Amino acid sequence: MGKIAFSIWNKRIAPVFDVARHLWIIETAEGRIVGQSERRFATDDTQERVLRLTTLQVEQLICGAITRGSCEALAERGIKVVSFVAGGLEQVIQACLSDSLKDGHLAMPGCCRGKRHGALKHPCREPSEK
Amino acid sequence: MTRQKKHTPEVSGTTTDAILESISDGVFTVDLDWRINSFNRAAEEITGISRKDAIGRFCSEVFRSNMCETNCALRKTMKNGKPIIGRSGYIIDEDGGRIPISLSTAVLKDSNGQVVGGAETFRDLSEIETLRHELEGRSHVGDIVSRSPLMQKLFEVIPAIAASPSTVLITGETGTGKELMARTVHALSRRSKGPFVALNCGALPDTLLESELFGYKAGAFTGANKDKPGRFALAKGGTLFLDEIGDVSPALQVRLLRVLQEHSFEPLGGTETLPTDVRIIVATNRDLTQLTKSGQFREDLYYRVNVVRIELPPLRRRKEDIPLLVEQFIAKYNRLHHATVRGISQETLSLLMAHDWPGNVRELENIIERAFIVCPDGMIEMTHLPDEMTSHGNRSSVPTVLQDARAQMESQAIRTALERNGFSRLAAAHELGMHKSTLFRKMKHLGITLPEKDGRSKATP
Repeated sequence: MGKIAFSIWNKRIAPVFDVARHLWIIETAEGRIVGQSERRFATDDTQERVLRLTTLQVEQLICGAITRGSCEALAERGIKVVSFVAGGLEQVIQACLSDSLKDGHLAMPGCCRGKRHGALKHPCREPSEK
Repeated sequence: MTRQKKHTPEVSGTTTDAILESISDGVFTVDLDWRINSFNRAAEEITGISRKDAIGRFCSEVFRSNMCETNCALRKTMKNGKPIIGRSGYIIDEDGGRIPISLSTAVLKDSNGQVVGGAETFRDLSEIETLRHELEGRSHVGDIVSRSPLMQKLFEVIPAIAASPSTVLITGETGTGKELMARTVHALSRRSKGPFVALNCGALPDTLLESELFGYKAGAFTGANKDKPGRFALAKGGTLFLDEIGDVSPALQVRLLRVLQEHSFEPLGGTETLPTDVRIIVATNRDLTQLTKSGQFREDLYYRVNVVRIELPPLRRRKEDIPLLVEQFIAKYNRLHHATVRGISQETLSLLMAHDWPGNVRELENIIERAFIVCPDGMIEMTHLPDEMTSHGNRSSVPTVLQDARAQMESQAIRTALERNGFSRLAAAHELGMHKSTLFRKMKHLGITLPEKDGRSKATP
């Protein structure tokens, strides 16, 4: 499964990825955690943050709200993003490992229902989340 | 009727609710655990989140503002009891769009004066921001602001330069914003979604620079336990910015030239040639032509990097930008330092205008940042500037003799007028309110020369 990064704040998923300062990174093999560590972002610059995740060899990012620009920049670098997630870190990690994040029970408020102003679907959201 | 009733008419809960529902500002309240316990109609409309979904959830997960994590206004108010009015930021809607807002905060107390939570009101600034961007568009390209004719000429060509795939050489004195210009070119280019990778070539010794640029394979040298991608690989699909290119050693110049010619490179210790997919932008504050003549910089590399050239003028040649730049830096540091500086006093600004700025825009920014340390609110005054700017004796850049000061001011005014009028001396003289022969005499006296193609060229067939 590789490396998965969780953007965190106060042991919960950080509300906004674009300004989040901390990352919790887990390394998994056969559905089990084989290593974990905490890392920091030093800047709010989108490209620098994407580069940081790339050099950390992160394959998937689980985060809260994220701007379209950041989401697209991550996708360009081949990093899969599961966004608009809310909840305690442990709870989200368990949901991620059991592949139940897409159920939507840990989605941020208002993110499982109709869209505002009929806008396009968020490019990073899990397809089955809607 | 009691006196109190006369001045403070009782408002029922129903009336308060009706008022909250009718206003166009979003309002929500939180309990002491930061969970939302009321959410008005405008809050639903601005955030796109229904009241039913919002109530009972953490405010940060509903509001999703750039301020929530590190700079929460409500947290500050709850701590010190002081309301915050009109702080700017943005929230993120469910489609990843930024909604610019301004917000205000207040503490909520019960009838016994006990704090029971907090209230936040916020206003959607999307329309105002759109209008502001339209107005500012003329003096902005990316993050670069300028009203100077010299920079306006650059602004006109930057979109075309950004659209082309050619290598760009940015020259200019230290502190003129070469990296900012490189980032702007990248942001306006088709590669804007790719990474912008910067490397200061002057900061690293040769061997380290080589491995930073091209990366290495495991076992390439002692300590290389695993593969490390270089900047060329990391910038794939984006832009690689090489600063201080004039300081690169002759040996590395040869390797760079090969990469530029062949569009491929080999990591250290590697046997495979990898193709490059980067746009190169280089910068220097040194005179590359001179370095080429003296043999310190390879001529063939010079012609490879000097495809499109952007020359950034020093701040002393675009002093009319100082008020605009000061305004921009004040807004920036108000945001970064959570300060409320309102502006700069007229006499302080005049002093900044008289300075020669050998450190250019970076020096100006440093001075404003320093002022924020001693002046976190109100106006920036002379006393908030460093001693070397205000003490008359130590200033090398400010003339000590009155005549010199006058000559310097005259020279600056004439240069600006000439530039603004496309180097037409007649138009410049008209703007300065003097006869053209007076202008000619002053230009000769002050040693001001015109570029080869000046205002007269237009009249000459």
